[in-house]
Amino acid sequence: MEPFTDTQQPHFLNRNKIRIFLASIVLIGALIYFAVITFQSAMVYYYTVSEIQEEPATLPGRMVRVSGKLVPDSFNRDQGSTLAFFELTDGENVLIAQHDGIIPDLFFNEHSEIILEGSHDPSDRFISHNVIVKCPSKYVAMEEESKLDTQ
Amino acid sequence: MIRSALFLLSFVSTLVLIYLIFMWVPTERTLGISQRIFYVHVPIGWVGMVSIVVVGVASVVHLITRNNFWDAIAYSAAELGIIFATLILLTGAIWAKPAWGVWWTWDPKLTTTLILWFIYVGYLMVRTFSQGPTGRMYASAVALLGAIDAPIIYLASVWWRSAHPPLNIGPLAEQEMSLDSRMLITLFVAIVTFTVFYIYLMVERFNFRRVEDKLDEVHQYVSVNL
Amino acid sequence: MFPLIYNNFLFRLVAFFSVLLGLYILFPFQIVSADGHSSNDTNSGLNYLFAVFFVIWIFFFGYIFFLTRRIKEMKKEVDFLKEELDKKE
Repeated sequence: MEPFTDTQQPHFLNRNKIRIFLASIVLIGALIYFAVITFQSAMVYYYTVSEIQEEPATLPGRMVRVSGKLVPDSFNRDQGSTLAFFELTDGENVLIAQHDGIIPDLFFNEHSEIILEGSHDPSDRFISHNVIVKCPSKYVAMEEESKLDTQ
Repeated sequence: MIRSALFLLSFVSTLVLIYLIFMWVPTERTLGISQRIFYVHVPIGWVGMVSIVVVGVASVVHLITRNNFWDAIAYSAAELGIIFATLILLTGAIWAKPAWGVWWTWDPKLTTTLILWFIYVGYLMVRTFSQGPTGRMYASAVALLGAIDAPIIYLASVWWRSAHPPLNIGPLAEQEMSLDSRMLITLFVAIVTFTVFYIYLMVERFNFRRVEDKLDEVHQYVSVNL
Repeated sequence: MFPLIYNNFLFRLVAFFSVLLGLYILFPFQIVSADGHSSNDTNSGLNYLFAVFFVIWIFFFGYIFFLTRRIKEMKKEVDFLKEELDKKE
C-alpha cells in the first residue's frame, strides 16, 4: 500500500487506537462531569434570597449559590479579623450571612450584586465560602457620572 | 492581492483599536480599567463562536459534495477556532478576577464555553487520529454539536441566571443603549478588527492546508506508482 | 501516511491546557481561595488589561511558530520525495 511506512504500520495503528480510546474517555468523562456539576446541585446558577428561604432544596449543609444586594451598613468585621458578618437582600427578604476571608472591593459598591457560594448552618445563617461580585449590567462612563452628580 | 489587503487592513485597524482601548475610551464607573478587557473579550468570543459554525457548515457541505475545498475550510476554521476558544477562556478568567473576585465559576455561560473548547479539541483529535472518510464523518458530527452549542453560549445569560450581564449588543439585546456611545464605537472597531484578522488568518491557513493536501496526494502517487 | 504525526505541537499545547483544566476540576475551591488578594488602585486594573494583551500576543506568535514548524516539516517531506525519485531513476 504505502511502501515507506509498511514496517511501521501495525505499531502506528495500535498507538492511534490507544490514543483515540484515551481521548474519548477524557472527553466523555469531562462532559459528564460538567453535566453533573451544572445540573446536580441546582438547575439554576444561583437562588435569590427569597427562594433560598422557601426552597426545601436548599437544606442545611448543601452547597448553593445565593444572590442579592448588600444591605447598607450591615457589614460588620472586627479589627484585624477576616471573619465578616453582613446581610443580603433581594428587596423582600433579608439573609444573614458570614464570610471568612478576603472580600473584593467591588463588594461594597452600591451597584454590585453579590453571589455567595456556601451553605446554611442549622441556625439558618448562611456560611459563605466564596464571594462573587456580579457585573453591573450597564457600563457607564466615569465622566458621565460626575456630570450627573453636578446636575 | 487579497491577502496583502487583508493583512494591511487588520494591521492598521489593530493599531487604531489599541489606541482606542488604551487612550480614547472612557473608563467604566464601577469596574474601572479592567472593564477595557471587554473590548477584546467580546470580539474574541464572537470569532470563536462563528468559527465552530463555519466548521459545522463546511463539514456538512464537504460530506454532501465530497469536495476537498470544503474540508480544508473546515479544518482551518477548527484550528483557528481552538486558539480563539482558548483565548475566550483565558481573557475571561483574567477579567473575572478583578470583576467578580474569582478566576472561574460554574456560570452557565462559562460552562457552555468550556464545552465549546472541548468540542474543538474533540474535533481536532478525531481529525488527527483517524484520517480518511470515516474520520471526517465523525469529526463533522462533533462540529455540528459545536454549531448547536454556539447560540446556546450567546443566549446563556438570557436563558439562565448568570454572573454575566445580559446581552450588550446584537439584535437580541434587551436594553437599548446599554453602552456609552464611545464604548459602542470602540466595541464596533474591535469586532471589525478581529473579524478581518480572522478572515485573513483563514485565507492564509486555508491556502496552507491546500498545499498540505497536495503534498499528501503527491506522496500517495509516488508510493503507489514508483 | 508519512511517518510524521500531524499537529504534534498542537497536540502538546492541548495536552498542557487539559492538565491545567484538570487541576481546576480537582481543586477548584483551593485555587480560588488560595489567591485572595485584591487592591483598589487603578494600576491593578491596568495590569489585568496588559495580562490579557500579553496572553493574546503569546498565542498568535505561538501559532505562527507552529505554522513555521509545519513548513519545515513539509520541506523535509519534499526533500525525502525527491531522494526517493532520484533512487528510482
